[in-house]
Amino acid sequence: MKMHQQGYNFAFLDENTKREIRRKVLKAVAIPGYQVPFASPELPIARGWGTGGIQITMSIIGPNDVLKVIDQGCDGGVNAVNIRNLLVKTTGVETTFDTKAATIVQTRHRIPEEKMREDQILVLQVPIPDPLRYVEPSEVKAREMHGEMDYSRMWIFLYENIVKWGEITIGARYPSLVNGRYLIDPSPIPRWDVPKLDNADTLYLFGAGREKRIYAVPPYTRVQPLEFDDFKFRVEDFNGHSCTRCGASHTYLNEITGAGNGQKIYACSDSSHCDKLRRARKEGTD
Amino acid sequence: MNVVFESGFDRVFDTQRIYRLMLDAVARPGKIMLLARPELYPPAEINPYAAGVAFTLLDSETSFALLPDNEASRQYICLNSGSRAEELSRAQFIILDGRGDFPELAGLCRGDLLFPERGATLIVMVDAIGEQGDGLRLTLRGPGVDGIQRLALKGLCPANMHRVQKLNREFPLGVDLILTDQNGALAALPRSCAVNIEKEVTC
Repeated sequence: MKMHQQGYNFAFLDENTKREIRRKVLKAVAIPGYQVPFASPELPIARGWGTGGIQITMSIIGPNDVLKVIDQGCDGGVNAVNIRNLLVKTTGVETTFDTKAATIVQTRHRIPEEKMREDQILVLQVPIPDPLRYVEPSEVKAREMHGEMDYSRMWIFLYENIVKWGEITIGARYPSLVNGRYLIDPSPIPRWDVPKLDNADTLYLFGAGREKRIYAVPPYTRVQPLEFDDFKFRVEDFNGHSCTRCGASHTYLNEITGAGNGQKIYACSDSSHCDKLRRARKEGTD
Repeated sequence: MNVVFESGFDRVFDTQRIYRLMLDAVARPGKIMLLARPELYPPAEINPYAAGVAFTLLDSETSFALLPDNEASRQYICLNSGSRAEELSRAQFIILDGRGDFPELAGLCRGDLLFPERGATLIVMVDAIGEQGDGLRLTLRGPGVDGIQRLALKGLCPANMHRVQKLNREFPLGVDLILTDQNGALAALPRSCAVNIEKEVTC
């Protein structure tokens, strides 16, 4: 372990703040999908830039952890780089781009393509923790609806979507039922990633700093995206496209407008997985 | 009375290590973790591992109660955590000697539908925690359990387990258990876990 910068407590937060978050995370895990309120104090990064995830990571991380931080699947995104720098400066932990080598992965908007293991934790940054925000602006009322498991308005919202547009228009942030009890907003991950939450080996922790909520999906827990018997949930369809860098056709692809000719090209969203596939392909042809 | 102020316990790194094991235990009910022996010298009524768990979670924002209550332990926890002693039905944390038979457990706070997280956390001390072996044998199902998990608790009065089952009958209301034994084994039974008592023994 490298030394962390002096003048701060390990992982920046003071121990009282960490302890509160630790207590709340335990309750979040014990009540899968329920949003636990927490204090969410100020950080050197503004609220809304991943402070929920940062606070969870700061509260669980130890000197022997290996950290990976991604933004939209990419280790080089500006949000990821800044968060990684802050965490390294205040903890001295080792970092990696390799999903397999990390013990904690903090992420914005993606779950890595490579299947995560039992000994790893995925921390997700959440902008809007309550899926009922679509149908109910009042937190007080939404809390009652969660308490009573009254999700009828969400179902009607989805139904009306289908009637109006012939499709459920929610792309990312697809509402999903955890353990048959609580409806969660899985954060703005694409639909592609939602099935990875279901019955996983890994613990998923969700932190919303601006909205001051923590929730969790424990491993081996049912996570069902809402769907109708005659209108099933489905993930993004890349319809024969593949990544221009590594050639993969089984990953989540970003659509990019090509420079010059304005044609659409596709590239993997998970950059470190893409690099791995490229290396493997190169070695295969050499 | 001579109450020890614990200076050998590292409140930054020891608590972090204990917390990660605890988090893993709560995320995977019945999984047995092994704690390193903390530099703690509590009164005889409290095992040092349970004290380590308590000092990882308790501070001046929290309240606790002891079962059975005793002056030395209460002062020890107050002094070393800053947490305040509270009556049983309102305490956020209960430090429980699992061997005793405590009807009072029926009155613990289990939260309400708007704020179920306000249900109490029990730090339970037992003699031994194993996957198999002597004592109360449990089978666990639910979130965090891949199929079925077995747990054997020696030194936990079955009547206490029945009371916890009753408290946890109406999910999401309930209480969450963190168990420690004399040798540093730690396991958890969060309220989401369906507990079935396979074999009872009198304690």
